[in-house]
Amino acid sequence: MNYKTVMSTCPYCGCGCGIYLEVIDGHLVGTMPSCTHPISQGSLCIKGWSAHEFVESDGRLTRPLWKRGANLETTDWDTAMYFVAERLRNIKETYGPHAIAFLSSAKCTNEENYLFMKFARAVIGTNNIDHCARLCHAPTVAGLAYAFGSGAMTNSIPELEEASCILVTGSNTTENHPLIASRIIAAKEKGAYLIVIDPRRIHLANYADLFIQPTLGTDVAWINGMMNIIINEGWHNREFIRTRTENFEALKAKISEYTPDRVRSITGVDPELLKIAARAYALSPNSSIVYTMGITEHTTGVDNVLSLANLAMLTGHVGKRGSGINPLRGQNNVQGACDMGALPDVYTGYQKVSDSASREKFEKAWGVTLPEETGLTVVEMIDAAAEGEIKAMYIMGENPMLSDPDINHVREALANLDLLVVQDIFINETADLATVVFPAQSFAEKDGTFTSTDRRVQRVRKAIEPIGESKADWQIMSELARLMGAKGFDYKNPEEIFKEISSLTPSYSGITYERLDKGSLQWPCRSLDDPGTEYLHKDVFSKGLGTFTPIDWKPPAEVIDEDYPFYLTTGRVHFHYHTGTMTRRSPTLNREMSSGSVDVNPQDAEKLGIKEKDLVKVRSRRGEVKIRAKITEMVPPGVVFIPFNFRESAANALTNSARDPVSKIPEFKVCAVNLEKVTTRR
Amino acid sequence: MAENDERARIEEARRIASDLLENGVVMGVLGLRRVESHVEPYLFTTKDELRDLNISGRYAIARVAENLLRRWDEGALGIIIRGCDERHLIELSKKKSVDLKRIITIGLACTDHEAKECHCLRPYPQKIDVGKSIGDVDYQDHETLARLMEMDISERRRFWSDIFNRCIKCYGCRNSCPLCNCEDCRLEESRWVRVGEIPPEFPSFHLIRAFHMADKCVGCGACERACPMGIPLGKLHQLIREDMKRLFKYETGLNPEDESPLQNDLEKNPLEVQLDEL
Repeated sequence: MNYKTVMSTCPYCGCGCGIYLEVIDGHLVGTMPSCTHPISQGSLCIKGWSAHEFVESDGRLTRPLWKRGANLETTDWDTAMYFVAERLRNIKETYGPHAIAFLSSAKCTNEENYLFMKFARAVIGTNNIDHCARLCHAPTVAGLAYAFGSGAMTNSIPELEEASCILVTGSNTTENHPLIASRIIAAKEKGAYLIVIDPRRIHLANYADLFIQPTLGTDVAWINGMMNIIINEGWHNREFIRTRTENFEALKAKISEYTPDRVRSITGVDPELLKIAARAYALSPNSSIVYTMGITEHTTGVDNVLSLANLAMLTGHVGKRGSGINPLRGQNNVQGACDMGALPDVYTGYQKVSDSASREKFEKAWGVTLPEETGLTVVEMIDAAAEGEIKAMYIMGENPMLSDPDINHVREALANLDLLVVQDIFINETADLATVVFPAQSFAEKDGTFTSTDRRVQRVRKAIEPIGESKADWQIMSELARLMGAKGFDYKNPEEIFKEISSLTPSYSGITYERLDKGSLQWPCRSLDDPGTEYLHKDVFSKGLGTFTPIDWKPPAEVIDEDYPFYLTTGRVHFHYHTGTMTRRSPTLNREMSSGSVDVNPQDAEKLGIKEKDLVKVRSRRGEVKIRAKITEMVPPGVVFIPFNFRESAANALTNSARDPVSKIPEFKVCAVNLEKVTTRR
Repeated sequence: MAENDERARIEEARRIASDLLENGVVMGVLGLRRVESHVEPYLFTTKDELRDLNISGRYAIARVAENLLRRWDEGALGIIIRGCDERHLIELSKKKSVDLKRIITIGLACTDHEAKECHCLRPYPQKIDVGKSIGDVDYQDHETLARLMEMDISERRRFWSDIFNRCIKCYGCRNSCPLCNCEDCRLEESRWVRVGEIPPEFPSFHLIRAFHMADKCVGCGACERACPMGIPLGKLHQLIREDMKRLFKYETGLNPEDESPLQNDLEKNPLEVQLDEL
C-alpha cells in the first residue's frame, strides 16, 4: 500500500488555500488543510475539505465525444482532433479568423490559459478570447486600472488582520470567501471596526459594528454620500490628495451634489448611520475596503468600482500595509486567467494588444503576425453567434448555459454555431450542445499554477493518474496547434510553458517553479531575487498619480413596475460553486444542499400567501423558473434572491443581459420579476 | 539551543524509525516530513526518505493511522507520536477502530514550549523514546475558563450563541479530530440539524458534537486549530473534560481497558456515587 499527501491549491474560490490531497494506492481519499500555509493555516471551508470528492466521481468524461445526429457519441482522440482541426481551418478560410471565438477558463491553470490564449491569437489569428472574469470582476480590472494603474487586489489576505477598520460591501464573505472572512473576524477580535454595507442582511452583518442596508443598485449614491460627509467634516486626507492624486477639484464639485438628504432619497440610508460609517472609515488609521460582485455586477459596475477608488484616495487609505481596496476574485484562478491575457484586449500581464510595441514583442516571440483590433467579450460573442457572425466557438472549462445572463438567448446562439468545441471534465449544459467534447483533466491530475485573489502564484500538483483517456488542457491545446501546423507548441511539461510566460510577462518574470516549491510568490515579482509584492501602490500608484473620477448615480437598467414588482438579485451559496458541475457531484456538499430556493422576505411572503418550501413561479421579461420558497429576513421587502448554482431553477433564465458600457459586464445583480405561488390541483 | 535540541530529537526519531524499517517490523512509519517550507504527514517506507523527517508540525495523525490500518489487512504500522497522538490511539482502540497490537510507537516527549502552545496537561506519551518528559503541567487558560464558569446561565447562553453563530459549518472540528469519526454522523442528519444553512442551528450542532465527544476528547486542540472562525472549542471541551473527571473520575486516553461511564446499560445510575458532588 502506498500513502502520500500531495500539496496543492484548492480548486474552488480565489482564497488560494493550501491543501493536501491524501492519496492511497492511486486514489484520492481525503483533503486536509496545510497547517504551514499562509492562507489556510490549518483551516478550510466545507468546499475545501471536500475538494477531492468530485475528481473520481461517476460521470467524468473519459473519452472524446462527437455529435452524430442528435446525440453525442464516443470516439477516439485522433478522430476528434482531426475533425476539430479540419473544421477550424475551414471556418477560418471561409469566414476569416474573427468568425471563431474562444472562452477560456478560470478553473484551469495559468499555463493552460496562456496556451489557450496563444492558440486563439497565434494559431487562429483572433483576439476573440474572453472568460468568466467578464461576468465578475471586469469592472474591477477596468476601474482600478484606470484609477490606480492596476486592476488587482491591493493588499494580501493575511494583511486584513492588520486593518483597523474594514468596510465590506457587496461581498457575502463568510459564504463565498470563507478563509478571508476568517481574517475579517480575526481583525475584529483585535479591535478593528467592521462596517457591512449590503442590500442583504448577510451572515457577516451579525458581527458588524455597523450594518447599513441600502436599496439595491444605489452604490454610487451612498459612496458619494459618504464622501460628501467626509469632505464637509474635513475628514479627508489633504496631504495624500495633494501628493498622490489628480482631478480632486472635479470630484469635489460632483460630490457636493450628493447631500445626505438626496442620498437618503435614493438609497434609503439614514444620514446619521452614513456619517458614523464615514467617520470610522475616514479617521481610522488603517482602513480597508473588501468588495465583490455586489459592486461589479451592475450596468454601473465600473462606476461603482471607481467610486470606491475615489473613497480610498480621498482618505488616503490605499498603498499601506493592511489598508487598500480589495476586490475578492471569485474563482481559484480567475486572477491568473486575467493575468495570462485570456481577455480580448490584452496579452499576459495586461500588455495591450492595441499597443504596437507589445504586439511586436509577442509576434517576435511566437513567430506570427497578430491581429490589432480588440476582440469580442463573452456576451458580445453570444450575440454575434446568434446573429451568425461567429461560426465557431471553443469553450474550455466554462458553462455559459448556466453562468451567462438570459440563458434562453445563449441556447439559441450556441445552437446557431457551425462548430462548438467544449473541453471539460464533466458533461454540462453547454457540452450538451457541443459538436465535439474533449475530456479534460481535473486539478488533481496535472501540474501547473493558480494565481489566487491576492496575486499569489502557487503550485498545483499532480496527485493521481488521469481518469480514463482524459488529457490536460495544455496537452490538448498543444496537440491541436501542432495538428494545425503551428510552430512553438512543443512543450514537454507545464514548467516549460511557465518559463515562456515569465519571459514575456514583466510582473511574472521573477517567478519560477523552483521558487514556487519553496512557497507562494505574489506579483509583481520582477527578478529572481525579488521577494514579490505584498501590497500595491506604496509611495506611488502603478500609473503615477491616482485619478479621481466624478461620477453620477444612475438607476439599474431594469426597474420594477406594476407587472414586475420585485427586484431579483442573484449570487452563490456557501455549499456550492458556480454552475455546480463539481460541487453537485460532491456527496458532502450535495447532502447539505441539493436544490436551490428563492429567498423571500416574510412581509412579502405573507402578502402573497407563500409559505416556507412552497413552490413559486418567478418570472421576468426573459424567462421563468419554478423554485421552492425560503422565507428569510436576509432579503429586505421587495427583493428576492436566487442562487445561480442550480440548473433546474436557473437564476440566469431571468437575469438581464444589459451591460456596463465600459466593462461589458451584465447586470446580474438587479432585474425586475414577479412571483406567484404555484397552486397544484389535488 | 532549542534548535539543536530539535535537531537531536529528529536525529533520534530517525534512528529508531530507520531501525524499524530496516528490520522489516513495520510496513511503514507514519510521521511528518519537511518539504521546503511545509511540514506534512508522510508514510516513510524507506530509510532514504527519513532524510526529510520532521517533528514540528501539528497534525492529528492518528486519523491517518486509523485510515491506513483500516485499508491494510495485516502488518504493523510504525508511528511517531506525541502524548495527544497516543491518547487518540488509545481512544480509537476503545472504539475498536484501531488494533493497538498492530502499532509500534515512537514516543516523543514535548518540550515546555510546545506544551504551552497547546495548553497541554500531559505533554508526553506513556512510552517515551525521544526527548525527555517535563512531567505533568498545567497550561490551561484558567482565567478564561473561570470567567466562562462565572457567567450565569443567560450570560453563558448569550456568549456561546454569539460565538457559535460565527460558524460556517466547515465541519473542520469534526474532520480534523481522529475521534469524531462515526460512520453515520448526527451532525449531517436533518432531523438534528437543518441542512444547508450557515450558521448551523444553535445549540444543536455544537452541543451534539460537544456531548458526543465528552467521553472521547483527549484535549489535543485539533478542532480549535482547524476552526477558521476562531471559536474556542478547546475551552468548551476542557470544561466538559473537567466535569467528566469530577463526576465520573474518568479520564480519556490513559488505558485501553478503561470503560467510558457513558457506555451504560441503564441498569445502574451512572451518577449514583457522584450525585452528592453536584
